[in-house]
Amino acid sequence: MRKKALKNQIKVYRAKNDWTQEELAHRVSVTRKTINTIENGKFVPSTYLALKIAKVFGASVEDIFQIDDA
Amino acid sequence: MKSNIEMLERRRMRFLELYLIGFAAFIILSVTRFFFRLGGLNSQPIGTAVLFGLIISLMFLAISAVGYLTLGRKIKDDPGLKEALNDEMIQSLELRSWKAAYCGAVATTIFFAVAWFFYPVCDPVMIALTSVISGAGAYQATFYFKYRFL
Repeated sequence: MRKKALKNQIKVYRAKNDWTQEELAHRVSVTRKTINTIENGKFVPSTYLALKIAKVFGASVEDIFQIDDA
Repeated sequence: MKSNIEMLERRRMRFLELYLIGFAAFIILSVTRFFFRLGGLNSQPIGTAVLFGLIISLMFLAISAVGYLTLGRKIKDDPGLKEALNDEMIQSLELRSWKAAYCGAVATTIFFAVAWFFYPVCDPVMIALTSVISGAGAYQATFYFKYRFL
């Protein structure tokens, strides 16, 4: 069975908004470490957290997260 | 608030590190004492030194556990801190750590049970305490290393 993998554009959206990981973490009420692990694809967030992240960026979840088919 | 979260997170990990140092010392000294007792060395000066080390490691464990719990209470009292510092990744790691805690306690009990076949086990209180502390230590160690290297 293939390992669950989720690509994300968090780094890109953070750069667009000029936010640090800590800034984003504060906005979605998690730790910087959590944002870091999501950004690096090591931790798959819940639907709720994914929606929260998309909301603070003003984007849809699909814009931020995509299933990694590779 | 932002830097406060980072500061509390770092402090939490410091307490965990201290706890793990105390835990490692306790396990090593506890097993040493177990074998010293079988060899009749516990009444010798070296046995007393091990007992002294064991008491210090227990104090170390108690101080770090109290510090960790006090910090946990401080986090719990502030809804913002509670949400950020107990986020879903932390909760996920805690769940995985419970599994390790169970395995740690069972492995220690099995170790002493197997040893019982070969040697007369004569300190059941120490064995029970070691099994419980092994479970707690396995929990904290799993949490710490999974968090650190995730």
